[in-house]
Amino acid sequence: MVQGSFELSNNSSIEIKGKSFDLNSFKGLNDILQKLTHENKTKNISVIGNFNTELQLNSIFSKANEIDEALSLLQHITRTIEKSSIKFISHVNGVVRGPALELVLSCNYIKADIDTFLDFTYTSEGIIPFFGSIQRIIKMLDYKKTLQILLTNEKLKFEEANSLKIINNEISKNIDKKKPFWDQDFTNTFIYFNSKIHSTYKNKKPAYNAILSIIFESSICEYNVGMSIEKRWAKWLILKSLIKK
Amino acid sequence: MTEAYIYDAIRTPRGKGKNTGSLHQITPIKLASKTLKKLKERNNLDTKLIDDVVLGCVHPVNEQGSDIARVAVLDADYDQSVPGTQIDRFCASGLEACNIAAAQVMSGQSDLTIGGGVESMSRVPMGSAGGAWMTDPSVAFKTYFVPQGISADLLASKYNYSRDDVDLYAVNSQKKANEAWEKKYFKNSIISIYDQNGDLMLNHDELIRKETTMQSLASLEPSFSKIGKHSGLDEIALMKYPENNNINHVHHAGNSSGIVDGAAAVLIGNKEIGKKLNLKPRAKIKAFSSIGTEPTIMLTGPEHASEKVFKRAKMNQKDIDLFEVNEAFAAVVLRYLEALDISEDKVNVNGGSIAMGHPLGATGSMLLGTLLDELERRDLNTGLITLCVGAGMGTATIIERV
Repeated sequence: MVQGSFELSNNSSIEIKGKSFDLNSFKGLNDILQKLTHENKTKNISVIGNFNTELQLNSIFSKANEIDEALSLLQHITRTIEKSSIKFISHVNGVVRGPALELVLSCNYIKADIDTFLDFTYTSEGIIPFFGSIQRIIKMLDYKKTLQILLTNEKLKFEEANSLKIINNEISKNIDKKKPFWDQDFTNTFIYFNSKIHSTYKNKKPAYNAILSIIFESSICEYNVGMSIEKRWAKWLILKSLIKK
Repeated sequence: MTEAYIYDAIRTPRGKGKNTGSLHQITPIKLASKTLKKLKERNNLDTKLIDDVVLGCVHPVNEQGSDIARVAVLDADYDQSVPGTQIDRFCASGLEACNIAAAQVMSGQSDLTIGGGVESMSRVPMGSAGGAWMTDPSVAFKTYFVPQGISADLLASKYNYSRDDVDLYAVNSQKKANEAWEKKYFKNSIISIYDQNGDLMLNHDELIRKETTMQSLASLEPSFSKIGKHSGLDEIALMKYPENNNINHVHHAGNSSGIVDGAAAVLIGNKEIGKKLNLKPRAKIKAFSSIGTEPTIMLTGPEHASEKVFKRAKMNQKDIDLFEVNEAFAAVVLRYLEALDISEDKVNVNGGSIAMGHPLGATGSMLLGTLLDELERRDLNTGLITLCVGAGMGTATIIERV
């Protein structure tokens, strides 16, 4: 598996290289982002390269006492991108998955080729995104669509992602906007998904439980609070897998 | 009549009731169930013996809806035979829940009950439950409805409490609450709240501002001045109280109760169940009452509820060693002191809701626990808890150590 890294070229683009990313890869990305934001010279940054990526979970979360630090770093990276005055534009094609998908979702714009599909592998791989993507998605879409995408391991093809305005659109502008909640539809949706997940997986796949809980608990919350809730559940899931080992 | 004894009383810390508050990330059902779990653990309860759980909650909608008490019972892993009911007496809900739980024991229909309350004001904001009183013109006109803040300013105007009077009261509340925390007076009742990973979320009341002074409060704008003048609410209050020339707007965020999240639970039972479970009774619930009073001024219920409960208990204010009067607004307590001619050093001796906050459905049961702890610490005998209540009600309860 090719070790993943991020490289800055001419202060104009960040290239995603390799496939498999460990904590050092993200520390490197964080250094690049800190440099860019502190210099305050660059107006636009393109994110290019390989978007079909994965996390080296074992190396990132090997010790329980280091989980908080690692999770904070990963969320800090995407928050830095979102808060920066620099416009981050990702140019994606083909399969977009793993940490690259998380980064892409935090960019201001996603320019996508027609062969693009976004692969939300959280439940199939038994992990949830540690970067705050659930918050981004739920703030962009409604909870129903979010649950459908995240819990069914749905691959979002270009046409649908485009119609949902996830790609080819400015996505971070309304990130703090609250979605409607606790109408009859909200209740029915959660009854449906709770029963579906419970009857199918019971406690066998805790990632489902974590995703449902994140969306339920953060539906009424602002983005930053939702990020924190997401982090708590991410930690819960990681601790569960560490105990299992 | 069977005596109802208090065996234990616990509460969560109060978290700031906004999205930066430490308890905002926890749902109200978890606040309630963590409290019930802790009550079970520290009393080694066989939950099959609990006849009912009564929880106060003022906005029983959305996350707090659909009988939060029963769902909290299930989430706390109590025996499934334990029922739960949610009640609403506005701000006195937590105390009323304890009174109802005690009444079940007193009437001989229950042996062991839990009273308490919960409110996550950051997640289910004030006003979420709607209601005809505020919104239906046919009711609002008839009853001269004004919001509570206007009532508080009307109360201050009617009884000539100046801005300095109410601010001074608030400064003292902050000082007393801070001192009580520093000296760990609440340690017996407070339960720390941890998240699903065992990480600490909150272990102290996070609203207290120990640096509060008269000067710092003086810089705050009155909260209800604009709405009173521009929305015609002052005029409505004055129509009902024409003897007042105007409304002096003296209340603001610093001398009114804070918006917070929290929960509390009180274990109540008869003597026999205490013996059976090897529990030591700490106090008995001697008497309680609720009353309705004039709804526009709204906040004078505590004095009338107290008079009613004194009559029932054949007591008077001189028999009471310590009082907990909910600090909904500073003027409420000032009026109570004046109406009953009580010395301030017997009332809210460890501060109150102005400093620590008022989690609507839970506050009454929190005050009961605070009062009991303080009676024990000072080795005193008798205490009274009272709260003003929306729509002009008041609730009061007398407890007596055993």
